[in-house]
Formats: sequence, structure tokens, C-alpha cells
Amino acid sequence: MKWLLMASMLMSIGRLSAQEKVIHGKIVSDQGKPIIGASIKVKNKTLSTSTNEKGEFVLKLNPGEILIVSNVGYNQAEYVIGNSSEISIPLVAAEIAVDEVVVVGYGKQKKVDLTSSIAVVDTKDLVKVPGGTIATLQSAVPGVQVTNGAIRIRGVGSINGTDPLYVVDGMIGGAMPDENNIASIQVLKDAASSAIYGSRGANGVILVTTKRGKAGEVKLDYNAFAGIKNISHNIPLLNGQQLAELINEEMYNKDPSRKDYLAALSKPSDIGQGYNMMDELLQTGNYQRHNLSVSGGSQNANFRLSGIYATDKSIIIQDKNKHYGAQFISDFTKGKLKIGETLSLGYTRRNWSDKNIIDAQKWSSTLPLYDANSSTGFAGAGNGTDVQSALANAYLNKNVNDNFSVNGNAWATYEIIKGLVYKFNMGIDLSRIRNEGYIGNYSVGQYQNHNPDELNISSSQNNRWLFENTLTYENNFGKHAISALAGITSEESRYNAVNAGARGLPSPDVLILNSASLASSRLVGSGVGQSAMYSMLGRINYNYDNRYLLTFNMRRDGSANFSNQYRYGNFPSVSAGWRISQESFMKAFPAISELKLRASYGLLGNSDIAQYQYQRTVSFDHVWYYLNNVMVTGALPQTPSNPNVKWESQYSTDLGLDLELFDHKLALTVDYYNKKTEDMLINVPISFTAGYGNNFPVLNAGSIRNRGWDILASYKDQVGNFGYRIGANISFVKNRVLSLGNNNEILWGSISPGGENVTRTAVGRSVGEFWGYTTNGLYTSQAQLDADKAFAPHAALGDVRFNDRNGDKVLNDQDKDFLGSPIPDFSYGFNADVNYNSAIGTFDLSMMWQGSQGNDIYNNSRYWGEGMYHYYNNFASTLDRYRAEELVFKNPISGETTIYPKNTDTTIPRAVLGDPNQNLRASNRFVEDGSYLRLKVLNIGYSFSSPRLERWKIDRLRFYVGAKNLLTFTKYSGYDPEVGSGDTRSNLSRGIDGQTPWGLSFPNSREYFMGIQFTF
Amino acid sequence: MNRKYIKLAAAALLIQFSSCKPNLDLSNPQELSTDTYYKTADQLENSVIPAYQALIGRTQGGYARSLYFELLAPGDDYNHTFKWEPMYQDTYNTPASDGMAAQTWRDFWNGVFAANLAIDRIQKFEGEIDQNRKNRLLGEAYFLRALNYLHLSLLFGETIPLINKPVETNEDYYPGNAQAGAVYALIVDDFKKASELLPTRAALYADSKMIGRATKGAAQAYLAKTYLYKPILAKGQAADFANAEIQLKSVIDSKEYQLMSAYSDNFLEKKENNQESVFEVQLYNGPGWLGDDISSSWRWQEIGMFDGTGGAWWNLAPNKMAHDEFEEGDPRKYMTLWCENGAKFTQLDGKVTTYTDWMKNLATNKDFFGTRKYCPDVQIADFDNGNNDRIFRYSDVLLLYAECLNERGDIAGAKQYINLVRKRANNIVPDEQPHLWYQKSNGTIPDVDGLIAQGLVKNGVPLNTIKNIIVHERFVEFLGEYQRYFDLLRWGMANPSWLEPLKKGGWSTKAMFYPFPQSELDNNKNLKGNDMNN
Repeated sequence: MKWLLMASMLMSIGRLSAQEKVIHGKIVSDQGKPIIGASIKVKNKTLSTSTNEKGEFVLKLNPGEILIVSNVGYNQAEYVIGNSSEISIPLVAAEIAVDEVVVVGYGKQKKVDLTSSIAVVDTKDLVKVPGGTIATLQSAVPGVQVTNGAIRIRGVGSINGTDPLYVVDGMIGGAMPDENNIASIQVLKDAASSAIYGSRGANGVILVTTKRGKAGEVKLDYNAFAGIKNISHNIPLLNGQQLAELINEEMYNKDPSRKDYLAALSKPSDIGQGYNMMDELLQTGNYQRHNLSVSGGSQNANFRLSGIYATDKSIIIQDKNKHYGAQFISDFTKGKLKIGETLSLGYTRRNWSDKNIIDAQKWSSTLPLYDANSSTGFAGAGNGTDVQSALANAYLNKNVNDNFSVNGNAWATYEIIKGLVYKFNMGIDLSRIRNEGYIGNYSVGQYQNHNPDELNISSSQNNRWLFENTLTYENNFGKHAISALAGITSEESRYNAVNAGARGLPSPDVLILNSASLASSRLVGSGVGQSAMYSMLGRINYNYDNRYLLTFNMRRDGSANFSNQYRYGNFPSVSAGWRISQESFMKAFPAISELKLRASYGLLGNSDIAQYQYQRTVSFDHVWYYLNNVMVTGALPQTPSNPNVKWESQYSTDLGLDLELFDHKLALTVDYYNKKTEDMLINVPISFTAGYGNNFPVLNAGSIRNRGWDILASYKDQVGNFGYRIGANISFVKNRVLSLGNNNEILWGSISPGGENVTRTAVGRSVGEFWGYTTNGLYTSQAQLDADKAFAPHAALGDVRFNDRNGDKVLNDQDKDFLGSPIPDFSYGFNADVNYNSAIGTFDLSMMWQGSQGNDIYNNSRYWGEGMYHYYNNFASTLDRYRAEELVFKNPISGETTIYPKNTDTTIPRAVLGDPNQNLRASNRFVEDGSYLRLKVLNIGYSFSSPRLERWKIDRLRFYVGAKNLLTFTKYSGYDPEVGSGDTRSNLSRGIDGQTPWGLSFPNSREYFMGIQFTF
Repeated sequence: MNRKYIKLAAAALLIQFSSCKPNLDLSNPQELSTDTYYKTADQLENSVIPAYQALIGRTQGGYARSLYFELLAPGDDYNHTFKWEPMYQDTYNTPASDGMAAQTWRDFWNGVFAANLAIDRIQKFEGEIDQNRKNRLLGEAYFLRALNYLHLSLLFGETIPLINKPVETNEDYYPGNAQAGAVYALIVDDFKKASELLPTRAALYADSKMIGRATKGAAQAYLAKTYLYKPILAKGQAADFANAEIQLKSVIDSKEYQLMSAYSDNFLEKKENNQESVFEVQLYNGPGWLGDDISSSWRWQEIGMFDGTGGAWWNLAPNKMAHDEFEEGDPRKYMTLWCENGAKFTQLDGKVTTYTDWMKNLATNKDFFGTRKYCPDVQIADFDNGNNDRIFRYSDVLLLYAECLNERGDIAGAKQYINLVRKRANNIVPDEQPHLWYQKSNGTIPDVDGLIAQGLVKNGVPLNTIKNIIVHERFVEFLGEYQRYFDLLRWGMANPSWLEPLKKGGWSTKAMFYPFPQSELDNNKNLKGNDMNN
């Protein structure tokens, strides 16, 4: 080829050859279909053109000249002009680069050589929608489940946190880059692929590589989008009149003879619509994000710099966020030495204030929100309620969070002898967080006083260092290919924090602690922490003739979280693959383009517990008593220790099949897995009589099994100018607890207000199943009331009929039952990409659907919203409340008569003050089907055609518009079936909506956006 | 080939140097090992502090926040208002899932744990320590174990676990129920030991740093009370009046205590730890906002002033029956209640309000009152304050002693001690709001004989016997001081007619105690709940 190149260069310099002739060319896809609008350049010349509707072009060229053909969605191709004047140049669709290389832990492998379960995420999808990484992981990768940002790979591996490990360019715990800076994402799902990360691979690994500079001219990329967002589903509340009528009925039902009705509510018809605080808290949010990058380089030095600016205004008032980011990437080669780095800087500032959504829902709709006569302008609670005005809190308090982070790594590799490469990798992960909270000096009505004002400032720093030394060796001996890896890594982290507070600031504008007038109010505190890990790792890949593939992995981890005795854990794995399609007998099946069987088995670990659990310690935190108003500090052990705590182990088997048919058009990946977690680290609940309050010891107790299937299928084709790709994935997982420590069960998921546990994890069932009373509708006859008199003495018609399951005439926890599971039977996604090439440009459309089937949600927000036990507002659903008979109620205060019609055909209980029958106890009434199907992403784009772009000297220009969470199909009555509250990390309290009054959030708003992608 | 080896050796060396192994033996930089702690006398001092703190409640189920609801709501004297629905404590319908009871359960067990640990470490201590100091510390630890247990068994019954050593290993994590009588015996035994080990109030409080700690007198008074609470603590058994009398007499004879001239001094923050105080829970409003220092009291905010009056919550209120129990001319009524013709309240905005204003603002429940006891007359901005809770006053010692005397037929002696309390009630209170009559003139309630002569009937009870007068006197003297419900229970075990006022409110024997928290039963399968759990 070299001589050709030189020849062409000479000729182009000459530019006077008489051999120049007219070439009629055609650009076709690998299926032989013409490609319209493809760009054709002549190498080292300014000459260029593009194809017409038939995919044809005409150019005057010399033999030996090189054409560079490119088109969106295809790999760029070069073609050397020979003697023929009629040429056809095929373009290979970009997706089927046969030698696609994927990143694996501490290395790279050809995709076809993989023996473990690794999902490769299509990075084109990432930039289609704001927050594209999460949306794509959720929609397009089987076995990955995302609930409100919490990612679980292949089920619930443990009762503990099941967050996967992120590795960015080799940095363990790296910072997730902006979507536009991501070159590839792979999800390591089985033990074989993640065992190289040992103790931290148990929950799967998400490997990210960033885009790096390439040799060639300097390129500028500008990508930006902006959008607006709204709440996707609001919950209707009672208006003022409806609430007044409800409260009067509650009071009447409590005691029909009473006379002391609330005067303010005595004429419901005068109150009318009333007020809705929730609506006042909501707004149309908006956001924008800009990413500008410059990249380029030469043979020996490449760079890529990018800057990010983003803003976000929430759909709830008083919550704004600004983000600035920068990424520095470069690679240098000098002889056998290569040096590179990835460094990300990020700074985020959030200005916000607390909003208690349930308080806003409870706000009496009979009360105005504003009061022109009050010093703050806000009205206080009343009419029987003393709830804080969430609206006033939103404006009178403020928080500022500053978060600055530096995350990245630098490495050097040196090829010692051919095939043997030493790599030194050093990573840093620094974060500096500053939080400032200010509560103003105010008095809002009778119940919301804050005087004097108060300022709290805290600042923390986290420093983490990573050092890795690895040796890799690769060589081929005939048909045997071997690669091996060995290394030693260490990691340390340190945490420091200080906080300070004071009251009585000179002015809300002077937020300086030492200017606070109340010297006695000054508070200071600090905290420190540290952890460390030391590991050895190794891997051998063996490949015979590209047919038989074998991989061994080994990692030995030592963690400071365990005592000397139990410090180290060994995590080996083995996997094998057989590329059947490479066998000669497969020539008989030309339809099969790729067929591979894979199997893997391995052991992973988990050390993710709080530090120092094995040490018995005395704590001084908040241990004091003011004797005669002088503080005397004390000492008390506050955490029950476990000196014998050790590694959690996860045994994982994976069987996989990769099949591609019809020239790679149809691809199918099927994986079956069986993961068993043993010696599970659990905060085992102990008796409170032990005296440790809510602190439980961490024990190695119990085991859990997850078995399931991940199936991914896709089909792509090009029909004329029309190209499409459709994909579908589904994952099934069956979770089962095999054993648990102590009593073989754990009750968890304590809900407000009482703290009742609503999940029970028990042997033979799945983790975190809902637990509570079962009900049998409402009491609708006196006979039913008489029958249950013994255990429901306070019940009346329309109260909830709880089941005395064991028939002992006592209603207690012995009558509780499993009520459903937050774990879906299966989760699934579809995606479709369509593009149409025309002379004026390329149109594209893509969609991602995502769903979850068979999971339940414990909707605790209905405790308040459908409680009807107080003077608070309720959901509009309570209009359908039970009424045994028509009630004609004459208000003794106003004399106004309200007619309440009979309503017995309903599931909503009667309204009664104080809830004497305890209708609100945790029961299956609050368990709802959480299944849903959601149109996560819809994106329509237009890319300008190549000829036009060339005139403008632009490589690429695409505009797009789209929507996120546009459609949701669900029966769930809450704000969002992707439940946004509760401790999302804990699998024991998953799927509880409104677990605490401040626990409601809106993770998924409906968004509309537009954007631009621009390269020149 | 040689060069190859050199390079390899260099690489191996490089790995050796660059991968320094981090220190993996990290100890908690914020805490100290239990193995090395408790080795000095000062560290022993620190060990008893958390047992005191438990009375306040580390999770705020103690006197700082929740406990006053649990102690007052079941009485016939207090009711929940419209502000707190549903409030099952008041309707004898408390579910096991109730969060407040669970906090209280956790806090007092935390106190038991701290006291057990302190007893264990002080007993095993081999270092240098003054014997008096050691006795005092051990006495405090026994006193506090008994006091924490007393609260637990009054609230949850005697079937709670019996734990008398520090819980440190897995075997201790799931205790079962105590045998009948065992908890009572432990409490008696601990208060006895404490009364022998602890110094007198005069000796101890000579050092102002010691003020607020347990004293010999406190241990004796509580020992007496334990004997009298025996019908509750050892359910159904008769009260031990004889032993109680001995202890009460020695408290009286110690001459360490006397009634304050002004009844209201017992509820003012500026008159804490006064001569009438036998034991107080030390509360303090530290620099943290909203109880952040976990040492302050929310009581005035939550159960003090009327609703609609400058931010008070008025979740629990004295009812008409409590109001009507006061005799005409008893100044204590106005120092105890926010009521008609009573004290005025100054709101945060400076507005001075009266009963008429409060009634105007009040949405409903107009026949309830406010609790002025422990509540400031001028509203403070913070929800919490630092007013100590005087959980044992000398007037209680006197009235309990009168009760003991009356039980063995010493009517004259009984009258004498009741009269001491009644006489003090009539004292002029010079610091009182000027418009209140008793600021200048004495109260007019007669002595016991005069009272009998009047032939009064209060809430259906004729004041014609010493017993009935003691019942009446305890009602008005201690209204809002957590006595009434437990008095009715202990009397009612001997004579069920004293349970009638409770039964009117829906009380049944089953509802005598709060249920064990469901979260406890969820975690601990060895423990069976009490009647209320079934």
C-alpha cells in the first residue's frame, strides 16, 4: 500500500496528468442498496462530491487516487482508483464492525472472544436524551434495573447496597463522564467478567471509556440541548368545600351528638374551591446542557479537552442547579513508553430549600396560602391543622450546596519485551463539599415560628488514592493465543469534616457565623474516617484458533473493614467459550454469521459495610447530661460490634449464547445465570432491650439466590434509503432467600408515622416482601360487625374489615401475611431506530420503551392522603368514601344543611375522626400493582446532507427534538411507579412510596427538549 | 536476552517500590476501644452519664419529648385535643406499632444498658479511686438502673426482660420475658443498694458541680414509691405500706427537704434543684435548635398553652373534670391551669392574651384547658426550653407518708402531713402576675378537718374520709405531674372502684400497660408481648 500512497501524493502534487478520466461510481450498503447523500472526498485534494438519489456520483480522477467515502451510520471507507471507470464502493454499517473491541477489566478483548456476560451499550443512544446513560441502561440492557437512579444488575444480590462498581478509563470508582465524552460503556454482569474487581464486582461493574483525541486535524464538537419539564402525573386533592364537608362528616361520625364543629368550616358552600398548596409548589422546570470539545493530535500525541456547562431548574419551586465541568485527556507515545491521563473536574452548585410534599398535600384547602398582613406574606395553618406551610418554608429557608470534585487517573505503560507490557496507574478521587443552610427569622401564623435565625455551615473533604501496577503479556504461538495479566493494587481513602452553626445573624444578607449575636448558640463539630484496601490480581486468556476460548481470573483482596483474622478474601473465576461458527462444519449453514456458547463460574465478594465493625468501641457522640445546667460529657458504646465479621461471598454461574443470523442482521444474546450469595453481611436486627437503640450489629448471616434469564434481540436492515434497527430485551429474575441469621427472618421497612415494619424477608421467599394485615373489604353489615366484635370493638359500617387469619379473635401480628413483592417478575425494554436518507439530509427517529411487570408498591402516601382521620386535606379519591345511609347533616354552628348521599359500592372506608378502628394500620389496602410501561425516550433528528455541510466546511450538523417520559401506562395511583422514596439503597425497604413524610420526590418528570450536535 | 532479564528485574523492582501496602489495621479515629476504656476514675464518671441521659431519651422517648404524653394521656385528668388525631394513648387503644412507645422503649433500655455497663465496670475497677467516690458512682448506677426499670415496668408491665449485666455478645441479643415479681425485686434491691451507697443531698450538693445527681434521699423516696407501686410493678400484689413508711420517714427525718413557700417555684426554670426537689430530670436548652442538643424539653410547646395562641400545639389538655377538682380559693388551680380568671399569656408578637381570647380563637374542644405548670408566661421563640422536670417533690413524700399512716390507722398523723401540703398551697405568691388575687392575699382552702366539715363532693367522690382526701389532694397537687393514672391503678388493684374513672374513658384491665412495640417483637422472637399485644 505504501507505494500507492506515495504515488498518489506525487500525482496530486503534479496535478497535470493526462490520465485523468471520468469515473462513474456508486456507493452501496453491504446489502447492495444504494446510499444517498454519501460524502466522497479525494484524499489530499479539495475535490469532493456526494451521491445522488440513486447513490451515484461522477468525478474526474487519476488511477491511484484515493477516495474517502463517508456517511452517517457507516464506517468510513477508502477506495483506490484503478483502471476501471465504473466502480461500486460498499460501505459497512457502523454497527457491525466485526473486530469490535470491548473493554474488560484491566484490558481489552475482541467482542467475539468474550467468554463472559458483558453487555455493550450503544453509545449513540446516550446522547439522544438528557440523562441518556441512565435511560439507556434502563431501557436497552437486559439484567439492569434502574429505579430512581438506583441501579441493580441481575437482581438483588444482597440485602446490602447493590450499587454496581463504576470504572472509568481504569479508575475504580471513577466519575461518570458527560454522555458526549463517552466512547463506550460495557456492563459486566457475571462473575467471570467482574471477578477481576474481586470484592467490589459482586453487584456488577459498569466500565466506561472516554473519547480520546485521534491523530488528524483538530476537531471541534459542540453538543447542546435544552428542555422544559413538568410533573408527569399529579394527584388531585379535595377542594375547600369538599374538605369542609369531609371534616364535618368525620366529626359527626365520631360523635353524632357533638355540637362543637369548627366554625370556619360550618358553611362549606361558601368556601368553594379553596386553595391548593401543591399546585403552588409545582412549576415548569427547565434545563440546558452544553458540551464543547476540542480534539486532535499527531501520531505520538493526542488530546481532547472538553468543557461542560449545565443548568437545571426543578419542577418544584426553589431548586436550581448549575454545573461546570472540564475534562482533560491526552495520550503520548515515545518509543515503547506510552503515557496518558483522564482528568475530570466538576463543580456543582445547588440552591434549594426544603419542601415537604406531604405537608403540602395535607395543607387545609380551606385556608389561603398568602396573607398580605403577615410579616412574611405567607399564611399560617389553622382550621384544626398545625401543619407547616411548605410554601413558606420554601421561600424563607435556603440551602446552598457546593460540590467540587477532581477525579481521574494517569498511567504509563512500557513494553519491556515484545508482548510484555508494564503499566503503572495512579488514580485520584477528591471531593470538597460545602453545605450552607439558613433558616430565617420568621413567624408564619401560629405554628411556624423561628426566632432568631440560624446558619449552619459544614464542609467535608474526601480523598481517595489508587495505585495499580500491572504486567500484561500477549503472544500467539501458531493457533494458540495467550494473554496474561498480573498486578498489585492498593487503595486508601480519608474523610474529614467540620461543621459550625450559630443563631442570631445581623441580617439574612450577612451569613457570617462570627457575626451572629448569640455567642452561646455557636456550635462546632468535626468528623474523621478512613479506609484502605490492598489487592493482588491475575488473569489468563487462552484462545485456540479463534474457536475455543478460556479465561481464568483471580483476585485477592484485603480490606480494612475486617479484622486481621478475616482480612483477606480470594475471588477466582473461570470461563470458557466455543465459537461454533468458526468451525468448518458450520460452512453448511451460511445463514449463521456468528454462534458462540459461553459458560462461566466464579466467586465474588462484598465488604461493603460501615468501618470498624469488628472493633468494640466507646463513643462520645452526643453523650452528655446537663447537671445543674452545665454540660457533663459521658461515654457509651453505641454500636454492637462483631469481631468475627468477614467477607460476603457470591458464587455465580452464567451460561450464554450469542447468535447472529443473516449477515449479522439478526442478533440474539441469551444468558442464564445463577448467583448465590453466602455469609451475607446483614445489619441483623436485635432486641432493643440490648440498649443499642437503632444500631444493629453486622453479622455474616444468611444466603440468597438469584436465578434468571437475560435475553437481548435486535434486528437491523436497510431498505433503500430507509434504515432501521429494532431491539428488544427482557430479563427475568427469581430471588429467593435460602437462609438468614437468628430467626431466619428480618422485619424492616419502617414507615411513618408509627414506624411499623412493612417488609418481611424470610427464608423461602424473596427479599423485602411486603408484610401486613390482610383485609376483606369494608364492613357492610351489622352481622359482620357482630362477628368481629371481639377484635374490632371500635368498628362501624364502612370501616376496614381486617382478617383475623388465625381465628383467635385477637387481631395482632400473628394475623399478618405477605402482601406482595417489590421485585418484578420481569423487566423489559424495546427500542427502535429509523433513519431515512434523502438528498437534503438524513432524518432519524428513535424510541426507547421500558417497563416492569409484576412488582408491587407499598403506597404509604395514602396513609395521609386517604386517612380521613384529622382536619388535613385528603386526596380527591376520598370523595368516594363509604356511607351506609344518606346523611342529612344540619351544622349546629351555621345551620347550613349538607346532604351526603348513600355510598356503599366503594373500597374507600368511612370518614371518622381519630380512626378508632385503625383502618390505617399497614395492610394490603396500600399495596398496589407497580407494573408500568413507559415511553422513556422519543427523539427525532435531522442531519444536513454531506454536500451542503462541505460547502459550509462542517463535518456534521444534526438538530433534534424529543421527549422523555412522554407516556406511562400504569395502574399505580401515586406520582410515579418508579418509586422515588425510601432508602433506595436498601433492598429491605425497596418499593415503599412515601415511607417518610419528606420521602416523596419526582424522579421522572415529563420533559420536552431540543438539541444540536455540531462537528467541524 | 540478558537485557531482557535486566528489564524484567527492573520492572519487578518497580512494582515492589510503587505498590506500597497500605495500613489495613485502621482503628476508629472518633472512638476508643472498650478494652482500654474504663481504666481511670474519670472514665468511670463518664460511664454513668448516659444512664442519666436516657431519662431525657437519646431517641427522645424520654422526658424531653414523648414521655409526658404517655404518662398523662391514660389518666382521667387529661385528654387529647383535636390537634392530635389519632391519639390512641388516650383511648386505651394504643397499637403495638405506635412509634412513640417504641422510642420510649428504646430509650429506657438504653439507660438500663448504660447502668449495667457502669455497674459492671465500677465493680471490676482495680485502679486508684477514692472509696467515697466509688460508692457514689456505684450508687448512682444502681439508682439509675432502678429508675429506668421503674419507668419501663410502669409503662409496659413486669413481663419485660430482666437484664442485669451489660449486653456485649450475640447470646444477649434476644432475651425472653422476666418471671413475675422479678423486675419488682430488682428495682427494690437496686434502690436499696443506692440508698446505702449514695451520699446525702447536703453532702453531695455542697459541690455545685454535683447538683442534679442522685442522692440518698432520692433513692429512699423512690424505694418507698416502688413499695407503693407494687400492685402495678408486681401486678395485683398488695402495696407494701410498712416498708414504704420506713423509707419516707427517714427522708422526712433527714430534714434535708422542705416545701417551697411558693407552690409555683417548683415549675420555674429559675428555681430548679430547690429544697423541695427530691429528684429532677435535668433539662437544658443548649445551643442546638429544636432539641438538637437532645437535652431540652418540648413540654410547654406540646401540652402547655392553648391552641391558636402564638404557636403552642396543645396536643394534650386537662379536661373539665380536672378543672373541677380544685376547691374554691385554691391558688394552685391558677398555677396549674390556663383557665378562666387566671394568668395572662404574652405572645411572641407582644400581644397579651387572656382566656377570653383563647376561647375566641379556639376551633373546638372548648371545655378543655391549658397546662400552665412548667409553661412560661411569656412565649419563647424556640419550641423547647430547659425547664427541669421535678419528677419527685417533697410534697409527694409528705402525701405518700400520710397515706402510709392512714393505712395503719394513724389518722391524726395523716392529717398533720396533708395539712402541711394544704397550708403551703394557701401561701401568697409575690412573684405571681399582679392581677391574680393570691399575689396579695392568701388562698382560702381549709385544713383537713375544715374540709371534711364542708362536705364537698368532687367529681362524685365525697371528701369525707382521709383516703378520699388524699386522693383529692394528690389530684390537685400533682395535676400534670404524671401521678394520677398510676395512683388510680395502684389504688384500683386493691379497690376496683378507683378504676371507675378510667373505665368511663374506655379503660380495661387489658389496657393497663402499653403493648410491647411491634418492632421489638419483630426483632426478638424470644419475647412475648403483654396483654395489649393480644
